[in-house]
Amino acid sequence: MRLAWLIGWKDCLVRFQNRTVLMFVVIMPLAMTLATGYAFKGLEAGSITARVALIVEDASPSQEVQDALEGMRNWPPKQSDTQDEARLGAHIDYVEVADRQQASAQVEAGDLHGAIVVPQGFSEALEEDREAKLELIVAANPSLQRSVVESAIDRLTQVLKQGNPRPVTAVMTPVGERQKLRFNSFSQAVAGNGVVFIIMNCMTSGGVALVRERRQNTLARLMIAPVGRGTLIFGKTIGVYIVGLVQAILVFGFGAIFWGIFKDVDVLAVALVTLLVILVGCSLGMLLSAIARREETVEALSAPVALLMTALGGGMFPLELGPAWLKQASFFLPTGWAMDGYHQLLWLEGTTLTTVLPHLGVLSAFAAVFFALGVWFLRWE
Amino acid sequence: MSSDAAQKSLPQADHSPAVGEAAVHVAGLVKRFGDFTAVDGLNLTIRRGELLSLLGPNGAGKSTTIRILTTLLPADEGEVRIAGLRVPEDNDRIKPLLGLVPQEIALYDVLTVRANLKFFGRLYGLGGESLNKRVEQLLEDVGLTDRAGHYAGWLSGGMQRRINIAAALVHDPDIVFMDEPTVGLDPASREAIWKVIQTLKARGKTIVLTTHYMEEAEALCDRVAIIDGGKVIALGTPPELIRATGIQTMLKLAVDGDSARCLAPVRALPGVNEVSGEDGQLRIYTTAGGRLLPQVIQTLQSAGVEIRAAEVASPNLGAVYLHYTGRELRE
Repeated sequence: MRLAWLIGWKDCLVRFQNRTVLMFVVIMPLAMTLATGYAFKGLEAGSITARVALIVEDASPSQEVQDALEGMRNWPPKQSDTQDEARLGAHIDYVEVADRQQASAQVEAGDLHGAIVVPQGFSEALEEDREAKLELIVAANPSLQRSVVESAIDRLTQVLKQGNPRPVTAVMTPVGERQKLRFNSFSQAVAGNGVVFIIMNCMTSGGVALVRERRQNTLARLMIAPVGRGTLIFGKTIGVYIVGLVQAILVFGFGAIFWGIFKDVDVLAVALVTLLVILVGCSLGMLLSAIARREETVEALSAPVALLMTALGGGMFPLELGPAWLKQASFFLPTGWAMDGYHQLLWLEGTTLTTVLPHLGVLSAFAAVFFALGVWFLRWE
Repeated sequence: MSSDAAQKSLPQADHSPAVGEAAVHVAGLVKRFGDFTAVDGLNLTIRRGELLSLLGPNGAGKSTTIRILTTLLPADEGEVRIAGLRVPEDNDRIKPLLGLVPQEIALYDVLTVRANLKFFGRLYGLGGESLNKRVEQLLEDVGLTDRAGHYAGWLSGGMQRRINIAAALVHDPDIVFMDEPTVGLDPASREAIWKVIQTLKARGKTIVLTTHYMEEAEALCDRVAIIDGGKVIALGTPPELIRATGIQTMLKLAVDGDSARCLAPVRALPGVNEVSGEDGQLRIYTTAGGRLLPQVIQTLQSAGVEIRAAEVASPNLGAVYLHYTGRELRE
């Protein structure tokens, strides 16, 4: 253990002597976090894609109702006079659903973000100036998309009221378990950039660590010393882990101090997810050091791989903005599990360590597999 | 002369101690890389406190042998014992006994000289004041105390070589393997390293040295092992090797007048094997060495021949190497 720490600490000293580390561990992560944090600020206003169903149960809808629904299908217009409408309407997809039961099932499954139901007798009530109730089926769990659906039904009620105080109301039917959303654009930016730079810097540091020992012939000195191969690998991992830890403390600390992303958040759970993300980065670095023969190869591979993995995992932007399959596909990557874990913990109120236990398990498994492959392919010559 | 012929003609000088007493004992060592056999049944025994040089052309198997002896590479066949301990079974006990000076500089160039030495010392369990003292002593030994705080990568090639050696010695190993420690160095740096090697030898360390420099091997080593084709083809002290080859000393004299007329009296001298003379140049081949020269001069002067210049060309390891391998060492 003492030797492993010695090797790890030496690797850290060597790594941090390189001034490019200042760029990749300090300047770039903070600059990117800052930039994307402000870029995602718009999301807080609801500029996202929502899939909404319009279900008409009213057997004989009046012309007025038919016109209003038709207007909804074309609302918001592609080009709008108002910035808010353009922002909102550009991201609503209206989909066909057979009935409210199917809509409820799809909302619960997450395939649909909401359904606006025109119930039986709605037109009649409207014509008779009785209370006419629209129904809205949405997920109980708040989301950015749900706010879009709510905006849509608000719009519909406004159209039907025609500027008069007609008794048109909307009744919300939540589906599934309810949790409160507290979306903060900086939590996305911090988590996303944290994952990007932890993975990238761990891959680079880990990949380079053994390749450089080989290049500068110091591996022979280490191998001839009374240091077992297991100790050497452990020591190398410690060195890389410290780099990842510094990176994580810097980015998440920045988010906590300046943007309060940990307010009412289970910090222990976030820390555990982060520690495992670092471990995944270390294991990827080990794998890279086994594959690459030159430091240039490590540096050429680590950045694109880390960026691609993180982008597909939702680190660059919330995958909720994209098609559903993108979110599902992200679970094939450790970055997808990491980002989903962060979203659960940072965006939803009431989430705890228990919520992300599956995430911790899967991240551990990814790390174990990558480590095993790295050690298997490692060349000691 | 071919290697096989050389091996047949020279019974290898036997200085072998008992296996348990030897610093290094190698028997029937074989290492293959695919179809290529780098080490082919190598046998070698090195005494404790001995400085042995491995001579051989590139690809002869020297570096592979050293890598096996230093536990870095597993052998395919054969027995290797270091200080009586078996490789690889006893590697954990063997490693602290070994020091390796690789041919290439093996230092962390972004760490200071002192930090490098301390790191390698700590790998062997050293620490605290004893490590500090050891590091300062080594810096003094290699003459680089004033560079202790410099980054290793900033030093000149010669200084890096000296630190490269110091890094292998920081844990005070009993057996030191040096792979071309002076290659490419200026005379001053080479001399500094020679001094370090001589000091180590004086302290009773066993040293295995590979070198391309014949004068280095002759000046420093107790014995020389010539390796070719993965085998030891000659082993002995430099004088033993020279004697065993039967290579003759050449006395070369520039004379006035007809050199042919003095061939007969010179040829009659005891120890003279062959004499030739033309264009005022007299060449005398002898196994008696340079000590024959006064007799030759006296004989020539008695014959009325005036001598303008005389030169003794003694056989050296270069000639021995050529004799056994049929190649210059630089090939």
